[in-house]
Amino acid sequence: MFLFIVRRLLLAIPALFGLVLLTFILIHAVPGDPAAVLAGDQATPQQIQALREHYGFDRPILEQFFRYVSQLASGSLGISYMTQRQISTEIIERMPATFELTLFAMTLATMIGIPLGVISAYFHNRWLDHLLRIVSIGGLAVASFWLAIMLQFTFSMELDLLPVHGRLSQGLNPPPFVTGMIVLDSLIAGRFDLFRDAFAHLILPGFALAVAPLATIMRFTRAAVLSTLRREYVFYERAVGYPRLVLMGKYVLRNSLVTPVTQIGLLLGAILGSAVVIEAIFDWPGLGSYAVLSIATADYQATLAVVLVVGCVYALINILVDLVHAAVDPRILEQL
Amino acid sequence: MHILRLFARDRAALLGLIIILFAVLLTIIGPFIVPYPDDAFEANIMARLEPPSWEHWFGTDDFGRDILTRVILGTGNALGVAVGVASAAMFVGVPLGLLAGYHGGRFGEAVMRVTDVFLAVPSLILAIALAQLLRAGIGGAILALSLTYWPHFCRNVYSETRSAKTATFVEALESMGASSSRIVFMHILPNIASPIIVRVTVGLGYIIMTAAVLGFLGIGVPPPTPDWGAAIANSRQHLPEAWWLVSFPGLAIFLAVLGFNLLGDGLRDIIDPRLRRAR
Repeated sequence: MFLFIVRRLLLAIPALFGLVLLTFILIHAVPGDPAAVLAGDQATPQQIQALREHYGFDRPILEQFFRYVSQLASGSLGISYMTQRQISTEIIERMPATFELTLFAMTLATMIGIPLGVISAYFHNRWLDHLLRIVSIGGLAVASFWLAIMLQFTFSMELDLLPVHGRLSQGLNPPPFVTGMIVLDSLIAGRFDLFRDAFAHLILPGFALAVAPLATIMRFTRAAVLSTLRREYVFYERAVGYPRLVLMGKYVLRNSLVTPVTQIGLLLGAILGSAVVIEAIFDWPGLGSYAVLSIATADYQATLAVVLVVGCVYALINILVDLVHAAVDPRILEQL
Repeated sequence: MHILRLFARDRAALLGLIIILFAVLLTIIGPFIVPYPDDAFEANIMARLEPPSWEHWFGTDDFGRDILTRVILGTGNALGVAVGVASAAMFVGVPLGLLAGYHGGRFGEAVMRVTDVFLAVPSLILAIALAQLLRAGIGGAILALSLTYWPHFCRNVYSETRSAKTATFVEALESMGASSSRIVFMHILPNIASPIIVRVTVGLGYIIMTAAVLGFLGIGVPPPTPDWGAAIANSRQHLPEAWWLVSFPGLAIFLAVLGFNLLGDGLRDIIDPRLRRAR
């Protein structure tokens, strides 16, 4: 197991290094002065000059690359010319908000998607199955940013049931910092009023993010359960006369969930991607809205920093998923 | 014939095909049938933000432009971008995947490591960053989407080639002394064409979705060109008063993506019985 973890970590390094190289090439491939490109459209000449010196853009290209890498390795992602602060600090501050939102969306997608997939398979080819399949096909085709706006319009503006944007209502102070996720921190602090308010803010963006992965999980679960139902041991157990619900819950489900669960890593990547737009729509102060802000202000350093950070997070998620997969299905370890 | 009959029985796939054909039709004849061809690009302040009516089926936007007209004209742009990106991604990804899969070795390993780099970040985020760096505009957006999408093709073709390589017919060709490029492009490629077709079909829907996100963020087609994503972004400042601004472009994206997904699913079922949806 230990070797497996080490191997997976080592495998992630070349890809991440390649990503650094790719961003470096891109900065230089775009026509014009790389310092001016990196600084963005609205930077002052002094800021461009500072960048040029910081990265040594007037030095030989190889030296530039080593400088770039060593800057990154020391944890410095550059200084945002918009806020004049370290980009790494800003990103770290914003990470908990993104984790809170994406984890909530993933939980929602799994908790709803798996049961619906099982129900769909259980009522195979009856009207409930057809209905659920139409819903899942639709869920995969709907643009999450459009859904988000429609939800905002319906539930916040028209019906006034849920808050329009943000993480907490105005006038409320966040609970003491523990995890940075307000929903958890408020529970830790025992502030149930804050919890209710934060949770209400989480529902709409969380649901908008969850729909596509929910539909995917539903499809995979349905297919997996159906193929398990065709196994001979299930026919046998049916013939012996097990109650159907016991059969489903105890024997079929356990043997069907490996495929949907391994999809979760991929889906988390997709959620991180669509979170960019959803966060911007709901003014959610996370990584995604930071990326959109950096696009709007042409702060290229900040955008590239988000790409690199998300790349690292994504690599970590995939390693974790592989570990879970290996724990569920030990045959994977033998393939080493 | 057998394939056609199988396809005709799949009602969902047929629906997908009909939606796509309809979109293609709109692309071709759209400019001639739109109700207000003249004011598609020009502001008409007198007719600002009118709700759907007999004159304007989908209402008008904040410049007084007919939304139905702009949604129809947006179809061509969306399909054009999707086809352009898919072709570019195929042009790079398919040959590389074929050669890497057939020759393997250091070259194959190198190609796969390069795809790893592009797949190390969720594709939407990579596309957004690339589109921004390559400067706004339709060319930048297409280049960014192609750069993000080719590794998916390459991976797919690579693994298909690896398994096709072990087939007896390849061994026979090798023993007859056929050149490797002949084997790869004349014999292996036709054999793995079906998974590529499925990949393209589903990919077109995915690209339409991603391009809409770029449009929404303002790094796609520049205004006043009709674009579904940009139209949705524009509509936000007029909520909750004008719901029709946001609704119809979103429905257009939904239908287009739905069409490609349904068709892709149907094709996959026919082509690869192993993956056939249990029915």
